[in-house]
Amino acid sequence: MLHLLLASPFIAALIIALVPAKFSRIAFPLSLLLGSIITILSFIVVSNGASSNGAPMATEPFAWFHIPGTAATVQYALFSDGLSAWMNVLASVLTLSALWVSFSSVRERFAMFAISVFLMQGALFGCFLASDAVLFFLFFEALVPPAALLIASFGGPGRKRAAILFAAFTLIGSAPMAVALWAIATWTGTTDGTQIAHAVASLPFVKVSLLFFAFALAFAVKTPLLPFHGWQAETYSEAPTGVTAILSGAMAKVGVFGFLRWTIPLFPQVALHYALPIALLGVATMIYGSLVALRQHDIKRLLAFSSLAHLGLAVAGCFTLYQSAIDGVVLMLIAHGFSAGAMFLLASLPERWSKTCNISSFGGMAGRSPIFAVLFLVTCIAAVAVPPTLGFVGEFLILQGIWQTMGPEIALLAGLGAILSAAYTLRLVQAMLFGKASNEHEAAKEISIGEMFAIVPLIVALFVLGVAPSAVLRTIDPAVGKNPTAVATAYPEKPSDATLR
Amino acid sequence: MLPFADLFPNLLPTVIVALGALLSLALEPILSIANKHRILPWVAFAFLVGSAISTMLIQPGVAYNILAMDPTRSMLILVLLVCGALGIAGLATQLPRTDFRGGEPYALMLLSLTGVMLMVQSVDLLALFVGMELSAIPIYALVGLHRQSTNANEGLFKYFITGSLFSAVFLYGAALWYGSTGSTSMSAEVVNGREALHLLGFAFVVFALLFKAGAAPLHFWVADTYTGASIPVTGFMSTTVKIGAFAGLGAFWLQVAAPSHFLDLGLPIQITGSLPLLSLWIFVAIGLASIVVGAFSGLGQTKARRLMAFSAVANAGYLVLALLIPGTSGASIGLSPLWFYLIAYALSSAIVLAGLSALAGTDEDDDSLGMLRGLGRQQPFLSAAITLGLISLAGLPPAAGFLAKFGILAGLFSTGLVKTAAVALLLAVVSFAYYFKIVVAIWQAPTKDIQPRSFPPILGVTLVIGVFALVAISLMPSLVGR
Amino acid sequence: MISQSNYLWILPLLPLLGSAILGAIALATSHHEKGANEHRTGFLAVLFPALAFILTAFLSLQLEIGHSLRQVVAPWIVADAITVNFGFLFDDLSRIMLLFITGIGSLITLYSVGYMHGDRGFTRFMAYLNLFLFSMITLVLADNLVLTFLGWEGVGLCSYLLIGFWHKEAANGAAANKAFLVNRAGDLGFLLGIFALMTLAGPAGISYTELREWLHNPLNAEILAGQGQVLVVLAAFFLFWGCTAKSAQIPLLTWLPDAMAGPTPVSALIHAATMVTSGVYLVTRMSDLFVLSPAIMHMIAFVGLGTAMWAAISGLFQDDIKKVLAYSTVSQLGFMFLAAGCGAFDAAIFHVFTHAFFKATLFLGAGSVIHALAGEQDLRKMGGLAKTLPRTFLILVFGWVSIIGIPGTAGFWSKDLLLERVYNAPFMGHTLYYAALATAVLTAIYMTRMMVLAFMGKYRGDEHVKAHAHESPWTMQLPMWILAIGSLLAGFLWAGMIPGADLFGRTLSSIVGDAQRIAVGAEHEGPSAFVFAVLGTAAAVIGLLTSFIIFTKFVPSPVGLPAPRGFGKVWTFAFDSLHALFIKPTRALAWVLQTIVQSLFEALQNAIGLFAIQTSDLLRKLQSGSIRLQLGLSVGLTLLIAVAILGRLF
Repeated sequence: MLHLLLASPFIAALIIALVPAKFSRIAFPLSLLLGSIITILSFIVVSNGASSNGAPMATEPFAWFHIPGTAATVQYALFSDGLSAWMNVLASVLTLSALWVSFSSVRERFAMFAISVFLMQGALFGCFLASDAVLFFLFFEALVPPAALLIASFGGPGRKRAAILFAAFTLIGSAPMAVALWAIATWTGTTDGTQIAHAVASLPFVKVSLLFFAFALAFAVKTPLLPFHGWQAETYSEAPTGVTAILSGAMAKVGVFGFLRWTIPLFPQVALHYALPIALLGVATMIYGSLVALRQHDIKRLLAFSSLAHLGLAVAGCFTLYQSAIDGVVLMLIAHGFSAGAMFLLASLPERWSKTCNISSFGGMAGRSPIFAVLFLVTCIAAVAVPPTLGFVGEFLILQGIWQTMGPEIALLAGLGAILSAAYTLRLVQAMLFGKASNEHEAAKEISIGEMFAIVPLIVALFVLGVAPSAVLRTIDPAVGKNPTAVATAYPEKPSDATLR
Repeated sequence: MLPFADLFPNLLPTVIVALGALLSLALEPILSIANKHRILPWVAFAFLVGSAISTMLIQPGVAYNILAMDPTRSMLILVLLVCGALGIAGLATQLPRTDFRGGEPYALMLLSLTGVMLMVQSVDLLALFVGMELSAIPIYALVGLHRQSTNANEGLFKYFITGSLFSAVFLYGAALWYGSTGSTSMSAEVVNGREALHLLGFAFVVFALLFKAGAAPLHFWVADTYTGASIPVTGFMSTTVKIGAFAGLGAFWLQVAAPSHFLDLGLPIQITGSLPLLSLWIFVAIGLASIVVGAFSGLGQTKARRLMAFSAVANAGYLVLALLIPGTSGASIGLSPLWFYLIAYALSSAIVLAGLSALAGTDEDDDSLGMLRGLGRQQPFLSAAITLGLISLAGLPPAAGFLAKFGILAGLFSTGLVKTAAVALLLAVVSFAYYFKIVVAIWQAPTKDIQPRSFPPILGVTLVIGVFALVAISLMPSLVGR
Repeated sequence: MISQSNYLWILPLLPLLGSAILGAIALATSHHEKGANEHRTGFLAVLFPALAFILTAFLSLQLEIGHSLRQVVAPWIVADAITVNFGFLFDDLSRIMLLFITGIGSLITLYSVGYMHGDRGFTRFMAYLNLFLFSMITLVLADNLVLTFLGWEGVGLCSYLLIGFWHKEAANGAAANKAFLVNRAGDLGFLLGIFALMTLAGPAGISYTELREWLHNPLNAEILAGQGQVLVVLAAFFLFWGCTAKSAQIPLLTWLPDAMAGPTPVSALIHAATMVTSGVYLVTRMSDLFVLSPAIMHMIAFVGLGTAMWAAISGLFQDDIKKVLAYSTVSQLGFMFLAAGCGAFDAAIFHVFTHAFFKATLFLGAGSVIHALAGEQDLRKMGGLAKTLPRTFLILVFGWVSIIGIPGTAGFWSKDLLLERVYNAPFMGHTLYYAALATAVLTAIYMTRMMVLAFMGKYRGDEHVKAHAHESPWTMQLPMWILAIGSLLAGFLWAGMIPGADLFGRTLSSIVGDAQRIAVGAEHEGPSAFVFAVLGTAAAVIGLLTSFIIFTKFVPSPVGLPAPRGFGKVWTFAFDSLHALFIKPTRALAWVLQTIVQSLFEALQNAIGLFAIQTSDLLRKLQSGSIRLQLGLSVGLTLLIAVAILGRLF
């Protein structure tokens, strides 16, 4: 099953590639069909997890590649718990929606677009499913080429620079992780996710913390965290909006996922030792992102900084090392995946209608495109985590965890982020929907039925899951709690002791 | 097992290719100009296939302590044949466009291939030298195919001068080796009291081979020669010659490390011989130098051929570093990562350049990035193949290049060369920039309407073979070596 | 009881269903020239709140005082130690709240059917109103803090939507944003309060009933005395912080006057009768917690008093009829918090109750005036309307006598009770009482001023507006009359001096009884209720007369904007400048980050890129054309390497 899930995007890409040029017009429906099939597969995996109360699925390891000069052999082995399963759902749903919405903007080069998107999706699946560190790293790197290619060939005016910037940041960021993997292979002779934790436990603390930071850096760039966010705004604003939806909705999650699945469980003691500073960095990122978002005039840049803020909070939540907060993180990842995805996809419409991303050039859309306006407004409401959206549940749990482990002051600080997020989101709503209709786009356009089909499910999911988060939590809780590569090992003995430092 | 294989053991593949060369030479005059480029390539291809089959059939073993054959060598030879086929196909695409009247280039290419195969098989310095020259001389001719083009002449001239110089260096090194050991066999033991000579000979031979491999600081000819030669020739020499050089280098290195009569190039060995310690640092220095030069010089280039030239230099660097990787245990050497990398590199590079030779037009700088713009949509399959090759060269997954690079650098790390490995990795990111430039250029939306580029079926066939091989080793790295 | 408790979940669902249907209609017709049929949608809009009211009434009649219904519908958030349920609690407090919320809610919805007639967004408006009622019902019916928080943010959201309802006007949008942001700031306090309680009492910290038991459980006494002390204070403080935003108390009161940008029914329902009082509801609901930290109680009392006086003074300077009412609302809310802070939670809730009636009456009356004068809100352009709009005038008179506290009216009873309790408060009771009394005088003054300017004297606006002035349709009249009657008679539910007329007080005692005993201590003998009644009446009458004398003489000239002028401006909006103290630095910081830090990062990136380019140029220069140089370099560099390494080794 997992093999099939992992293989499916690549197969899809192949199928699209084999469509002869003269039938190019079937590429679009075909890709939608394939995308839906993949989505269904990912849901099957989730339901499987739910039915077995989140008992993880795993495949037979297969000795794949011997790392020279070491005793280590890279295993091709897949592992899926609730966390991975839901991340896969995120990736597949967003891919589907992105394909759907982007069609009208890429049109004749759609086949190539679809192929690259599918390849990206495959790499994402690989990241979420790999249970061997090197295998994970392989897919982690495999994310870069298709993404960079998409940015460089479909993006805005500054696309080439953006693509190089993106590639350089992510590749350089992940270089230390490669070194760390060599080190692990050399020192412990295994790269199996389930064994590294025990294997490195015997190493001296300095070495382990070096490994920890090597891993952390790669994920901090991908997420991104504060000093490493240089690529984000430019990439998000230059990339074709459909791709940006995937980048922010799914790929950025790989960073946080990496913290949850690799960094923390592999090096629990180190994680515990450096939890507070990293969490603070996360909070700082959140504040920073929100403040800078307040001053953006390009809608995509604004959204970029808003996801910087959200994921900053998510990382802070990871490093509370507090069970319910980490559940919250997972919820928040899903919530932000859907809301950011929907936001970018929606933002792509006025961009296409009036050929600009400048907020001030919109306005009065509530009167001119009411349905679009309602969808946009609802998405914004979900984005600022108003209950009962999923985002609220996530933020609630995370903030509570922060209060529990780091004390009221930090919680207050993180809470300010919530106010700021409301501030810049309302500013966006105000500028785009309300006020006098600006004369910049004359004919009032309205979202099409097809686009609604692509976007509305995302929004609905936010509310449904927000009312019934247990649908996720039931599958997640064991996932981060019980399995061998679980965060549980990283918990302080009694979190309650950590209260009110 | 063929009945007559033991008459001239494990020489069969080479012989078949040589025969192919002779036959296509013989056919050339009697074919009409129109047919030359239609028939000769297939003839050559047929012989290559035959050679490949024989390669798979013959047993490992060593003949007269001169030519050896083992699983790794046969794998290398198979790759050589693929690269050769791609070169032939490239020629078959290019020559008609420049309406080149003669059919000799195919024969020349086969001849040169024969030489490289000798290099791969030889365990004796003289045999190695013969192979080197046999491979070099036809290439001189191939580089100079377009007599009227100044670039070609410059490239030819430089390659010829420097090449002959380093042939001399090699010969001199071999002579010293003979003087210090009393034999030209790589496995010969040093005679007491002549360690200095031995060391010197060793150094000369190694440097000559490094020159062939195009490692810095012996790389200056590479850029000009690659740019001068026509794209298929560039592809051919950048891959085959490198394979030959590193096969020879590796064999020599192993033999020096542990003198014995017959070795499998792939197996790790315990170091028993008098391996000169300083060679380690020489290799580190040369390797890093090549990577730096290759990575940074490539950045500013705009012609695909020149880019590939510097990529060749950079990759030579990684390969040199790979010589230092120990086998499983401490005081040993295991070159299997080197071979894997070599094969991955050769296949990718050959695919890219063969593909480019079809994409690029007729006149000199049709491989400049500007001219490649927008060809992706016109020739999706060619472009996809090229993209795959470039991704592999850039050392990114899912192509084999990733595992190859990862393996080599991991190996380096395990020898304790931590900083070296880290630096090499970072520079790989730098070189990604220029590989990516080609990819982007190809997939751009076209600015002007481009005249359709057609290519002969043989190119399609060989490309499919090459891509298949590359994908195969990407998915199943264990196909190569252990 | 079980049978009835199963109905609870229907209560919030009814208006939600309504808003869903109406929203669907609004969307479906969003592209038609004119919206959906107003009669049908109007009917639907009133139907669901009315049903909710009927159900509430039914339940209340079934359930005798002191009992409560509780229903846990389903778990909501279940993560590790935390469990939050969709649970509803129908007890004496929530029943009172629900009764007037759904009742007045239905009436005002009916009113707005008339008021919003012909507006393109008619259906949308009705959908919002229903959504608001859903949130409000959830707020008071929830059995745990988190679910209350859902309603809490829900009402904030709805008020945002309704303030900015006429979104063509950028100003309305700005007011809406302000309201939402200020409320967000309060919500943060609420959340932190929840966290504090969760830390204090663990899982029990969330649910009202369990928290109550936990607090009263002797086993936890020494925790509360010990390291729990600080948590109690924190929790109380943060929760009250939440209340200050929602109920427009100092320092977060600035959004409410601006909120008058919304349609008048909205001001009546949300910004007078229901939403703004939810702060008082929360304090009362958590009374068991608040009484444990006297410091916070005193804070509440002083904040309440301060707000009451401040807003009353500001009310004197308003020329916009709705602004006057807005400030009077703020002021009345101040009274309620004053009472709560003095431990008179039941009196506070009683004032909430009566206030809901007379303030709704006043707003609706004002709305009908505005409606009649085609949107004119400036008092200086009114006058002499008593003849033109007699019924509206009468209605407003009912509301007016009630708010200034003429004996017998609802406002009289509640305010009287409230003041008496304040006087008897153990901590500085007397001082607070006299201050409050003074405020009552002010109240009478500015309310009378409004009445005089609007209805006495002669008309000052332009004539043909007056020509079209007309009484409003029955849909608007009916609710106004009901509420007006209410604002006269509602007080007899707890008329202190009439023996037996204390239904309201008895009802609440089961909720706040213990808390008040802790706060106030034993009933000690104060002056008789009669004294307070006299004083209260005196205050009203004095205020009335002064104001009448002044403002029949000095009539402001109808020029300029109805915004306060001169020092009035400063007085009124001082708190805006206080907020600016926070907003400006934030803006500045944002600017610094964006223009300096951000560009520093970019500069760094470009520097690295530049470095790469430079290196490549350098190396390309090395790649010279001349063959001699190449050979020389090859050999030379090779030797260099060899020598260097030899030197390094030996």
